[in-house]
Amino acid sequence: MAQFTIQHVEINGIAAAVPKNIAKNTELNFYKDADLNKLIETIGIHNRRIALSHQCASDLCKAAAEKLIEGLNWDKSEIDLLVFVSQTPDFQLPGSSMQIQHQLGLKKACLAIDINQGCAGYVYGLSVITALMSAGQIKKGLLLVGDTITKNISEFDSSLIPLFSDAGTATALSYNEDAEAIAFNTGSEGEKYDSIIIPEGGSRIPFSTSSNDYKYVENGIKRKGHHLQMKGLDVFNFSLNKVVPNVEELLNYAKLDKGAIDKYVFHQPNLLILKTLAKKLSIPFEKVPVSLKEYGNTSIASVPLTIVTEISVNNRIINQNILLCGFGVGLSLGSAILKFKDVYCAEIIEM
Amino acid sequence: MQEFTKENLLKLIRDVFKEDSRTSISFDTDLHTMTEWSSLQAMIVVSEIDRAFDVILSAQDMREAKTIAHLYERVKQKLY
Repeated sequence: MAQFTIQHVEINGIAAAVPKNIAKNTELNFYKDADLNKLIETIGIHNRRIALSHQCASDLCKAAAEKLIEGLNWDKSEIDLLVFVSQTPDFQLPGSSMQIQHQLGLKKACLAIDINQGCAGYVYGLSVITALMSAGQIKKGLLLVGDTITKNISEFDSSLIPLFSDAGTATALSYNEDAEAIAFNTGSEGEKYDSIIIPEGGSRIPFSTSSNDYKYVENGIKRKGHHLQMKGLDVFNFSLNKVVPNVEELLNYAKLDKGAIDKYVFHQPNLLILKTLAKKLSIPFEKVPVSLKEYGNTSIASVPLTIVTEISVNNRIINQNILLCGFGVGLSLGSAILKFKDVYCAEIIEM
Repeated sequence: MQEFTKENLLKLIRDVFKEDSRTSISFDTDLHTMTEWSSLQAMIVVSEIDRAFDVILSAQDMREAKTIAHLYERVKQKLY
């Protein structure tokens, strides 16, 4: 695991946007009533937000960014850096960050970067943007993370449909010499790259006419080659075996006891995993905020979305030590400990 | 934590299934052929075994171990 500390950068605010289109798990027709109730109880997801065909992750992130900039009363001309982290960019090429820079009205001198990352992407995005800002030459930056992953899920996939949801978020960061250091612990297990994958449509297996054919996978699951597929049990095992040591290593590195952390904000894959992680870490479940019931697994957006919807009180988070942890696609994982000294959180946007 | 016995493991796995199918589950039932079996069920079994006996079975364990008897052997190997 790579452990490192980044100084002099703080989070000033976070905003999140979700599609107003709601899908209810109670209305899924794959399951008998008893099976469905058990499924919902186990995964903890009642409602999911599904992007409309014209809505991209960049649109959700832009809406979040606009609200955040307004709420913080920031001058757009002062924003020097924009990092967009997503697995669902507008196009294969070009990256979306430059277009977002233009559409948000940020200056042309703004450094705009795209990162392709999944469920660990908020922590990875934070590590990149804070590293770029810590030297002090870039004073204000925006980290946008979001996915419209439901667009990549087969309508005949009873294993994935109940889980996934769409969201976009924006996080505002600034240089501050007095900011408390941010500790990170990141890791990769690339040999398991196909545990969560969209196999066709990239350079390795280009899109072909057969990519559009449904293939039978198992009872209740048919997918096309360009649909998302996941080995659920492999990912579950990865979560149990790797996340706990990653978090414990980070706490040791930061010289903090588990009790010194006010909230443990994990990626939100499903309730079973979150409860199991809390048990294995011996932390009270009250310290593990859960946004699954209303928002499902929003992949990369789940950590900042959960901060906005579950921790913020009266649009602020004040003086809290928060541990963030993402894990999934890659496979990769990363955690970070931050002091949320005075962080503005905008009301969630529905669009 | 529970004592690791065949009886406790059998009860633990029966409890993961719906009430009306529990009694039909024996030590030699092929779990993978049960209509309720799914990757989610497998996840719940892994989680319950971990909670009860502090052993995490791998995805490969779960794919290969079709009966509770097989699962018992896998957990035993990891415990002792």
